[in-house]
Amino acid sequence: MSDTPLRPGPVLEALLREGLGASTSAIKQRGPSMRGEIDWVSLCALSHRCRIAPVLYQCLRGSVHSAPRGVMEWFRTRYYENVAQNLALQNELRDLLRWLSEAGVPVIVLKGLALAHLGLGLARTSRDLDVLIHDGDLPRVDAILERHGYQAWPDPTHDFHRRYGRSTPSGTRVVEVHFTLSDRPRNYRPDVPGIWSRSEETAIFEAPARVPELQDHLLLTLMQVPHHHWAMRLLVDVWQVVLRWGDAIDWAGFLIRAGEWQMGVLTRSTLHALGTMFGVPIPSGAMSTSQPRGYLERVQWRVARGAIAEQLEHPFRPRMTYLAPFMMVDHPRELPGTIVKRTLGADASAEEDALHTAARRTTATAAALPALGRVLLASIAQPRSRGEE
Amino acid sequence: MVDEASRIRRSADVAAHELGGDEGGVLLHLKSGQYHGVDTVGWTIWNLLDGTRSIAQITDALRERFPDAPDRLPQDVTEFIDGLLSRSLVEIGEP
Repeated sequence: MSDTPLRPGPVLEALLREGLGASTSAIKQRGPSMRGEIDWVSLCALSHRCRIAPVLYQCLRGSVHSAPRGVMEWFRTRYYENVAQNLALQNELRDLLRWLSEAGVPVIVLKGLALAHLGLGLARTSRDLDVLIHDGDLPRVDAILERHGYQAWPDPTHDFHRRYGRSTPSGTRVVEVHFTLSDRPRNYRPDVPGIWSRSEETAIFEAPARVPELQDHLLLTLMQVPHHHWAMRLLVDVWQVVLRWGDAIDWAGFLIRAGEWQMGVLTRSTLHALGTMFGVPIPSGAMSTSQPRGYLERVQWRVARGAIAEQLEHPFRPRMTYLAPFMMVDHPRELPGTIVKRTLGADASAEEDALHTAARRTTATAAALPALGRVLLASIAQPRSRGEE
Repeated sequence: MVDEASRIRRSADVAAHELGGDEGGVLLHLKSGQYHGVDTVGWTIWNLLDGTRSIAQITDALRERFPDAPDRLPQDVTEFIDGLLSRSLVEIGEP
């Protein structure tokens, strides 16, 4: 036994592997890392920071590693709170879909509850509702929501959705109404007409709803990953979709579609990282296609892995996490322009003037440069094995 | 206060979810936002509160499901339902 408490990152990783389902070899491979004293307080803090405490509670319940009673009580409370929050969101979603249906407004449910329905159930953390409408329906939706007590929030930083809030005795309910899905600063180009035409009717926790077709859904989830700084909760979503629905996915077609959406690098690097870092059972063909090709991709893959590792090791001092979203481009010629545009403050928010935005982003970019330098050097060498990239 | 003949129904303002395993369930009062965890026995009682059964019938159903239940089961059930009533999670009366 070691006297040094185990760092929370590897413990969290091991618990997720054990609880969510990873390949057996990946679980065995990481088994020895769980020997030693677990720093439970740090684990609680990290899981809270990553917004996966309810998921970890489920993992701990089935784990051979028994947590102290107080720790389990803390996790159980987070889980119960989360279930209650999701129940409230479900109720709100039912109302919202009924209002829109009565007005004849077509709508697709995205993210949050739609993802929970695909994977983690009510253990998934969601704070708001996300729906996609046709952009021409926005004035009607605006009026419907206002009639039901919602107010539009000023949200000039995004040109693809509008946020609405409504106060209730149990807190503010938030709906994000997306009228397009293009994320202009990051070059991704989802096929919105295709998403509509392929969308499917289902029931989300018993509420009739239209959702994206499975492969579109997975791509839309991956598209959020850079926007949310490689958040573990989104990686866990991808993990669950792969685990539960992997057999239903046409992986070759999926990767082609990722390329068509200009998300090839992001998709392949994330799948590769999930497979090599967490033992997520990505099919071998997809894993093979997701190997980095050439020097630039080796850099991009290492940056993605670095951003994920930062979430688990030192989430409050991110380096790669800041830079990584701007490096996940399919075409190298876009790389300098994207970094410069983001660093110098294009697309600034209303809450911060352009000078402050530029100063903050330049500082963040500068702070990331040493880590990027190390990646650039390390990527010169060809990887010796798949897991090392 | 309820008695053995009372018929109790779940409030329409409550959303409930079973947690699975030995966890019972979570009840959320949608208007107040208050939520409550109930154990497996509590969850079983919750599902029996459809307004058609008296508390005595609910107690009998529980005894069938949990044969080792203590003698004070009727009292425990009444206290539990009183607790639900005081939190507006259930209402007296048939559906």
